[in-house]
Amino acid sequence: MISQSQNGNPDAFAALFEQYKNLVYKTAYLMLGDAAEAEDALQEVFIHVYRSLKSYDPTKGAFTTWLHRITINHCLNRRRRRQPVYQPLDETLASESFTIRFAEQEIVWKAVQRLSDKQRAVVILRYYNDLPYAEIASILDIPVGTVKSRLNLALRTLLDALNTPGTEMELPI
Amino acid sequence: MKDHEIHQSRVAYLDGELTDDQRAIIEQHVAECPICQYELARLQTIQNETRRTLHAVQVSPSPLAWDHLQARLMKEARPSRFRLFTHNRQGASIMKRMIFVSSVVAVVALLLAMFFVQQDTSSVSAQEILKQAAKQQPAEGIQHIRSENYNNGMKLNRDAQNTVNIMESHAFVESYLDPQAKKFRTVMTDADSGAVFYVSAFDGETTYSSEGESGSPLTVYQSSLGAQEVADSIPTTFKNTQELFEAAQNDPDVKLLGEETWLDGRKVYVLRSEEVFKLDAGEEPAGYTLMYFDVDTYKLLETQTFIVQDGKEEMDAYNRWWVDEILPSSTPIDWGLSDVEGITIIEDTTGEHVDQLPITVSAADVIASGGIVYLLNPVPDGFTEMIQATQPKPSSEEPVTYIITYSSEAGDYLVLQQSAAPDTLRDEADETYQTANGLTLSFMADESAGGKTFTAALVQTPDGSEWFLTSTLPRDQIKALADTLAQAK
Repeated sequence: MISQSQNGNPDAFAALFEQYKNLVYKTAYLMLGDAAEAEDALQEVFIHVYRSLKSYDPTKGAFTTWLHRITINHCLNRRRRRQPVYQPLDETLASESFTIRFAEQEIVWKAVQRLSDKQRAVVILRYYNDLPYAEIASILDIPVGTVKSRLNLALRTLLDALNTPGTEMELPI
Repeated sequence: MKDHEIHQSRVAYLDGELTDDQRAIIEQHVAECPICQYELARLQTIQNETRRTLHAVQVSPSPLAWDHLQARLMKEARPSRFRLFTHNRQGASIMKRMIFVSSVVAVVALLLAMFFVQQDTSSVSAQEILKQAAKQQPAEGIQHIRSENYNNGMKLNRDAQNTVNIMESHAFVESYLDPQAKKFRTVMTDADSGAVFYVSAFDGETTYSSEGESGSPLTVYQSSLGAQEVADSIPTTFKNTQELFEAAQNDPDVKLLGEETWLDGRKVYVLRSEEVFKLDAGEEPAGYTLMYFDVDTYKLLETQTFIVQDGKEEMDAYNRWWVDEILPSSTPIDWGLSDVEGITIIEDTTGEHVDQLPITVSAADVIASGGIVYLLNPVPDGFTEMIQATQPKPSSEEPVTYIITYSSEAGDYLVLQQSAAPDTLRDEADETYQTANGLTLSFMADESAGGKTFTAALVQTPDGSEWFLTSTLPRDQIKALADTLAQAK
């Protein structure tokens, strides 16, 4: 499908979009926290994919790694343009955008949204996309050690956020 | 491993990212360190919660995402071409200009657009392409079409004299048509907002229509009135498309400009017609239409209409057919629109919101109901006569109106449609003719399209009713026939 798309087969590209649209959209949504922004990111990512598909070399890594790199980079650039200074996200964001079944998850979601963009990227790639550190490092073009330290910091930040008064998350005492 | 290194490695340990040796060191340390046991438990909890939370977020892209992407890809692929078109002068051959325009511009344009245009070296003629396109008889099954329509409403407003005000519109249209089962559905969606703004459907028994409605959610009226007429009207849908291609085939002004390869790899024939296909009332602006046919299937993929004003050409409208396929008859289609989001279906018991389609009646029916129609007596040789009556809306006090159609096997026709004419139309008449029976014909300037000339006239009858006459027959023949028009008694 990928090589057929590279050869300009429109049906193959349509199939490629169909197969990966949810992955790209969800990753973008988790990164950006906004449905309209994620929708726009989905379009931009696939336009980028369409334009540069010929430059994708399967011998240099999996297609999904390449796709994740485009998606995450696009989201990071987008956030940079939109929000140059760290800014807490709207409190109501999580509950308005989608349905989270449990209060705990809503708290975690808000805390994830408050992470720095770089930390959120590693958290999403690791705990949503379930990618090994080496692949995350390749996607973000950083050393594996940096992935490790960012995850450490991110989880620490999440723990701190959840231990603040008013949150009722049950953590081991 | 030092203590701080052990602390830094707890997350990696939980993620299974350590070597066996590193694992062993951590496990040995943790077994003896209650603080690390506590920290590991907390980290594991937050990891699990984070994982669960991120997976619990339930979002999905818009169902129109692919349509939007395709539209954007096409737009991106062709901006340079549109710019070139805009600067072309009336009458110039667009494709030739593209090839002979200064080589630098041409090369840049071609690189940007990522497609190329060949000169007309193909052995296929425009007429042959149109013949092949017209040949495509609908196969057994359900016709599924997804198209994109854009109309730049600005162009007509430029003329200060022209008060026609058409909004710019950009829409996606998805339609299913089953001519055998006599069912159809059409849903039109605004390309920018994704909102449904028009639906029309018939599931064999019930009609669904949002005619005249707007707003969100869109109100759709459901009615079982007039179902038979709707069912009867369905076969003509295919016929109209066939006729369009056939008309273009007979038009000597339709030319094959060449072949293109689109960004997505499809090869297309480009045909140019000097007609401006516009549905809008009012004066037809000067311009032309490009038609793109798939080289392999001869399917029409796109039309683009350009308007020429003050020596400049600008694109006025385009239609793109993204999907044009025949689905098996057994394909489940929700003809009753229950899967369409953003609409509210309301039962219309009085038929107030149902489109009033003409019903075929006999002259005796008209007379019995107190109606007045004028018929050609006798019916001209080779022609057949059909009388149709259109009922007004239940709440309207308007009378029933009639359409009289005479048509021949050869494709000629004469149609009289009852309708009050606007004054402006009467003022446009270039000749008035009085018939022996006291009817007045006000002839409009002859129109030419598809290589044929059409006659149009406004007919006023002694009882005060007004009719539009349109015909493929020449004016002199219409005058002679009009002398035989007499009230049916």
